[in-house]
Amino acid sequence: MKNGVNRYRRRITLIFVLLILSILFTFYAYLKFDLKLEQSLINLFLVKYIWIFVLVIISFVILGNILMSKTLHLFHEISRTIQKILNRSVTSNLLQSAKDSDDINIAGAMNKLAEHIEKQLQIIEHNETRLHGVLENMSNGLLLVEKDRKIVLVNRAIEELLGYATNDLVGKRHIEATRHSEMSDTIEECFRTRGKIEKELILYYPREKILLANFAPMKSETNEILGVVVILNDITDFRKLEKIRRDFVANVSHELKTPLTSIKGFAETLLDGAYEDNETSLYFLNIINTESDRLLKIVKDLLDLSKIESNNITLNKEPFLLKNLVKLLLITLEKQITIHQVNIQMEMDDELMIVADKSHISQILINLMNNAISYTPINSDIVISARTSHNFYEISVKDNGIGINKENLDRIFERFYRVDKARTREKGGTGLGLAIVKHLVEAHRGNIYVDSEIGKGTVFTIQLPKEK
Amino acid sequence: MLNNRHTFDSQLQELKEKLLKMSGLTEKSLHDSVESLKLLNVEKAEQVIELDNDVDQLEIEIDEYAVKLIATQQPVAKDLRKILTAIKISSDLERIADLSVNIARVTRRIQGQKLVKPLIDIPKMTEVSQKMLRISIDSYINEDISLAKQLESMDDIIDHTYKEILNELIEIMRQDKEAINQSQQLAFVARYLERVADHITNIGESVIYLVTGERKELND
Ligand SMILES: Nc1ncnc2c1ncn2[C@@H]1O[C@H](COP(=O)(O)OP(=O)(O)O)[C@@H](O)[C@H]1O
Ligand SMILES: [Mg+2]
Repeated sequence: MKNGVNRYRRRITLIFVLLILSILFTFYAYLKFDLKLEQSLINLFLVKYIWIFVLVIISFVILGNILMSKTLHLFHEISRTIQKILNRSVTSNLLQSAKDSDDINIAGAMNKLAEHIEKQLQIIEHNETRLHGVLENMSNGLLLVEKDRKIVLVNRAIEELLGYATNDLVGKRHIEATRHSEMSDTIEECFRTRGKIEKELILYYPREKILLANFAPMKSETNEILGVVVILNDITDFRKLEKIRRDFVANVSHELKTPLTSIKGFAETLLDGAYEDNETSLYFLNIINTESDRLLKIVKDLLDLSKIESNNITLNKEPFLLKNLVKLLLITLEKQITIHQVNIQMEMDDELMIVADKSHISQILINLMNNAISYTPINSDIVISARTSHNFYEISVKDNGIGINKENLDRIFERFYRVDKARTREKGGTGLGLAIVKHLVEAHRGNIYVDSEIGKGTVFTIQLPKEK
Repeated sequence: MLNNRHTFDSQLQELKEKLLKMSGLTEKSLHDSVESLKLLNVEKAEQVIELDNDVDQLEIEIDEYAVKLIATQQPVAKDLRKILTAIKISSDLERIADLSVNIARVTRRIQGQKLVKPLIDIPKMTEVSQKMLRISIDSYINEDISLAKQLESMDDIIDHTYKEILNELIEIMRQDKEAINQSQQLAFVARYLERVADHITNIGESVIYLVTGERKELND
C-alpha cells in the first residue's frame, strides 16, 4: 500500500518538474533575447517565440494527461469495485485490469477488503438467522423496548400471549401494546433502576394467564441504558398443576386421617376398659376391622394410581374371550350382587375376542360394575354389553340407578371426587375408582364416556383401539 | 413555535398514556370481580374494591391534566377534541370500575353460600364485555372508527344475554324459594354487566367524535 502511494507521489512530482522546467525555459529565452533588443521589440519577440511557449505547454498537458489518465482509470475502477462490494455482486478477483505492480498491490488490498467484508457480512447474516430462529422458536414471549419507549422487537410467542399481531406491536409505545399497567410500570421501573426485575403478572385478556416476567436493562459499552428486554413465561399450567398436587396431598391426608382417627378412638376406648365387656369389645373390634379395611383399600388404590400415573406401566396384551372374563368377575362380585339384589345381563357375543391387558380390563370392569351396583336402589338392572367395530372395541356398563347430575359429571373422574360424600363413605368408596379407570383406559390409548340422567341411570362406555 | 408544538404533542401523548393505564386497571377489576364471584373468593373481591381507589385517583389526575392543557395551550379543533375525549373516556372507565366494585360486593354478600346454579352465562357476558373493552381502547389508540362501530352489534349480544339470564333467574326463583335472595343478587350482576357494556359503547362514540368531530349514537 505504501509503495503505491509513493508511486503516485512520484508521478505528481514529475508533472511539477515539467511545469517548472517549461517556465524556466520560457524565462531563459525571454531574458536571452530581451537583453539585446529594444523594448518595442519585446512584442515582436513574443509573437515570434510564442510558439515555443505554446509547444511547451501543450507537451506538458499531453504528458501529464498520459500519466494522469492511467491513475484516473484506476480510481474509476476502484470506485466501481467499491460499488460492487456494496452491492455484494462480486466477491473476489476484483480489479482484473490492474497491470503494473502498484496497481496490483491496490487490487490485492481491495480484494482482501472485499473478502473481509463479505466474511463479516456472512457472520452477521448467520448470527441474524440464528437469532431469528431462536426468537421465533422460543416458547417465551419477548419484547424489546428502546429508550423512546417504543417497541422495536417482538417474537411470535408474544403474539399469542398478548393477543396482538406483531405488526400491531412493533413501533407502538409499550403501554399501547401491553395494555397492562403493571407491566408498563415495571418497564419504566427497569429504565429507572437499571437493574433486573422478576415478577409474576396476571394477564386478563384474551384469557387469564399467569406470567413469570423478567425485565432486564440493555446497556451500551459506556453503561448507558439503551432499552429494556422483557421476557414473558406462561406459567398458568404449572400453577394449575401445583394446585392439583397441593389439593391431592391435602385430600390424601384427609382420607387417611378419617379411618385412622376412628381406629385410634375405638382402640383407646377398648384399652380404657371397654374390653371387659364382651359384646362392646366385639362391636368395637368390628368397626376397627372395617375401618382398617377401608384404610387398606385407600392405600391400595393410591398405590395403583401412582403406579399407573408414573407412566411406566407395561401393558401385557393378550387375546381373551371377554364374556369369560365378565363371568369370572361376576363370581368375585357375587356377595355384593346378592346384597343389592341387582339383575345383571350380558349382551355380547360368546366369541368376542379382545386383545388387551387382561388384568387392567378386569380392574376397569370391576370398578365400573362396583359403582353400578353401589349407586342403584335394590332390584335394579345392570347391563354389560360389548361390540366390536372396524377399529375399536366398545364395552359399556349401564345401570338404571340414581344417576349423576350435569355439574358433577365433569368431575367424577377426579381423584377423591364423590358426589355425595357421606353416602359413598358408607358404601365403602374411596373416590379413586373412576380415576383409576380413566388412567387405565388412557394407558390403552382408549377413551371413556359417561352419559347419565338423574333418577334414570348411568352408562359408562369405554372404547379401546384395536391392534393394527 | 415548533418547540411549543413539540411539547404539546408529548403532553397529549402523556394524557393518552395515563388513560391507557387506567383502562388496564379497569380491565383488571372487571375481570377479577366476575372471577371472584365465580370462585366465591372474597379475598379477590376485596382486592377489586381496593383497586378502585387507584382508578379514581387516575381519573382525577387525567381531569386535572386535561384542564391544565386546555388552560395553558388553548387548543382548537382536533387537539381540543383529543383532550375532551380523554376526559369523557376516563369518566366511562371510572364508572366501569365502579360497577366492577358492585359485582365484587355481591361476592362479599353471598359468601358462604353455594351458587344456586353454576355461573355460565354471566362469565360469558363478561367475556364479551372484556372483548368490547379491548376493542374500544384499540379503536381509541388507532383512531379506528370501524373498530368502534363493531361495538354496536356486540352490545346487542350483551342485551340479549342479559334478558336470557333474567328469565332463567326468574324461573329459578319461582321453583326454589330458598334461592330468591341469591338469584336477585345475580340479577344485579347481570344488570351491572349490561351497564358496563353501555359505558364501553360510550367510549366507542367518543372515538368517533374524536376522529370525525361528529356525535353518533351507537346504542339506541
Ligand atoms: N353408576 C353410577 N351411578 C351414579 N353415580 C356414580 C356411578 N358411578 C360413579 N358415581 C359417582 O361418582 C363418584 C366417583 O366414583 P368412584 O371414582 O368410583 O369413587 P367411589 O365409588 O369410591 O366413591 C361416586 O362417589 C359417585 O358419586
Ligand atoms: Mg367406585
